Amino acid sequence: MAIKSYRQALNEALRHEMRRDPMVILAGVDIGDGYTSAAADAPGDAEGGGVLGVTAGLIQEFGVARVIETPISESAMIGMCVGAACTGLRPVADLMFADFLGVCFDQIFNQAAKLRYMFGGKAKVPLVIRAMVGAGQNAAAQHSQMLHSLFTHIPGLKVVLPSSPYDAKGLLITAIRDDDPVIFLEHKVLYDVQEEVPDESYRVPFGEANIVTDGDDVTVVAFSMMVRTALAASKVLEKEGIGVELIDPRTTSPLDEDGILESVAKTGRVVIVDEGNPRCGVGADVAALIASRAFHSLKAPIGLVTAPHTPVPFSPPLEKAYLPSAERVADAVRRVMSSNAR
Amino acid sequence: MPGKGNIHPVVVPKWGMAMERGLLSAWHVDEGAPLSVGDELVDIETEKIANSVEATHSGILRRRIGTVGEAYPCGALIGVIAEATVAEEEITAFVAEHAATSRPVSVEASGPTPQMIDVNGHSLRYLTQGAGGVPVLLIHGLAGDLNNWLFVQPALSGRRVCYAVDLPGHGGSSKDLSGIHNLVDVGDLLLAFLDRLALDRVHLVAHSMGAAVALDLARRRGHRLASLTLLSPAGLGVSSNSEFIAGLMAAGNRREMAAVLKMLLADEVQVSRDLVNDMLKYKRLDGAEAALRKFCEFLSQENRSTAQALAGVATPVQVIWGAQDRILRPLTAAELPSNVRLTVLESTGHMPHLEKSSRVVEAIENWGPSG
Repeated sequence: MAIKSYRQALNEALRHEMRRDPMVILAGVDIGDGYTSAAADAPGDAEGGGVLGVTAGLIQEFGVARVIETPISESAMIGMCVGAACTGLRPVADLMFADFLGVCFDQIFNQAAKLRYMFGGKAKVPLVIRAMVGAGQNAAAQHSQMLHSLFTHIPGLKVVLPSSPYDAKGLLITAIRDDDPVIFLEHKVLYDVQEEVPDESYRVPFGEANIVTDGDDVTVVAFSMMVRTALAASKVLEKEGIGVELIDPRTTSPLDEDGILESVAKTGRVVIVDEGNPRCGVGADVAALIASRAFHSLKAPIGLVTAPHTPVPFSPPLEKAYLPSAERVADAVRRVMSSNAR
Repeated sequence: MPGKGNIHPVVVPKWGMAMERGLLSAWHVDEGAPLSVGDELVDIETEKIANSVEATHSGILRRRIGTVGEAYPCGALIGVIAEATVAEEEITAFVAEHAATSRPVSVEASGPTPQMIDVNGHSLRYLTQGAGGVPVLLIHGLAGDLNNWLFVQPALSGRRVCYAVDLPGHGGSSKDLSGIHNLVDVGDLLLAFLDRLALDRVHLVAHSMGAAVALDLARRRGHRLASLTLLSPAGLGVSSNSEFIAGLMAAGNRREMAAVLKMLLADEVQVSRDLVNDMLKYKRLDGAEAALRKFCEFLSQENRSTAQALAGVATPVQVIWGAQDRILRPLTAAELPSNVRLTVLESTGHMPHLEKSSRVVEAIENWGPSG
């Protein structure tokens, strides 16, 4: 076991699965460092591997037949991968920015998500689409969105939001072995986060929340990068004598409803933290779940911390104001702690 | 941090590689109280487990520096032991000097790192601590690993080299059990491991299922063993709690795993979130569940009586058992041959090396054959 980054953990997951199963292929822009078949014999550039280096070294090990450089045409790439998945391959498409998924909605919503259902289980689509989400790097409105709620809305898709290197590796392995299309959303601020990650292959199951901290006073449900923001808030709150039970659902589809409800039944207070925009978002979805199924456990109104309903600003001070901060999370927790509905 | 002449520091220990800080949860001794070696001084909690720090020297607890409820980095000075004859000014100077020079211990900079070794096609992970003397080999039980010895191994390695190994299918060792069909094969692999490390004779300390492997070695290859210490042993005529084994195999999530692991310890509160998560993480490694199933099978083939298990064993044997062991019912002295030394620990479950580590170390250090 060694200390590895989120980026290295993802690279290991891809490498392990490609070694284990010859049906696993990769497709994406620049994932093979720009090599074409003509240049494939040239010595590899181990520093490359996509814009963030996640696929570094894979084209050198697995060759151009399994690490496919695609043109900058996301709709064609995802269409090809959906078809490949139907034939029995297990494609992992690297879409770079999740913001670009918009041009592939037919391939994802109408084809990938529907084929198994419409063919009565005779077809399956074991496809993984990896994409970066989130703000925090001044990448402006078209490269910073949290679009997990859009995909969570579509039946037939699984949606994964790893918040740590350990989870990133185990969830990506589970995603590749899954027979349904999986939208795998990596937060771009997390790539250099490090922790202990086993060298071996392992799975992290979908639909099982990670309880990041145990606490008796308030449940905080947070997604993706917001898990770290909420953890920072919980450390401040601990000094004030407030025990936070921090829950990272890890997947929004399927969602670990029982895990969330069990915690709320214990604490009676809840704050949901999501970097997405507030309307029709996962935060509102979880709030509705709690309001309808745990209402009688609640001692205070449900707290919800999200970004505002605006595009992500480019200006650094405005982007900072846009993102939910540890202070905002801590304030929301203090509010639900001081409110006594019963 | 070294002591200075007759002034001895009490520091936050480092239990295992991942430990960076410890929370001081209780002092057991007042400032000014006289101390003997081995007295429990202070309780330190990590995310994984809580344990006591004991006095390493006799004397008087001259300073209680650590505050209850505060977390300190490993190596931080939390107390000072010295004889009454040492002047107050010297103690004050010692504390001040430490405050000026102390640096938090970083994760990478300290703590031994486990190594991998290839033995008969199996990749085994092991951790070495200490040097010299007749070596000690520590063998864990079902679903355990070398980290089970994190309190015991550092203490035992003060006077001799001490190895802890992950059995095949466990911990960081390879999960493929090809060629291993029973506990005798596991024992043979351990002999090959000893050969690879050029260890002719060792003191064997083994827990639970590991003890069944150790007993098999004592019957077949007793000349390789200087002594045998068995903790909560399987293979000694007591059958394992089948509810625990079935539960361990079936547990697929935190709640189920926590319920199962509570059976291991006398004080259920000690089953922390991290203990549960670590077990789940192990089970989710590719091949780990299949390996566990095979080991359960091996274990179920063990049906010797106590007398049969010890028949022909010439190696000196001692047994340490928790009075509240719910996995393997403790034997009484009357049920064991008179030449087997038995220590039964009160308020202790199936994991004496985690629950009462100092008593386990003491039993090994103070017993003629292994001391």
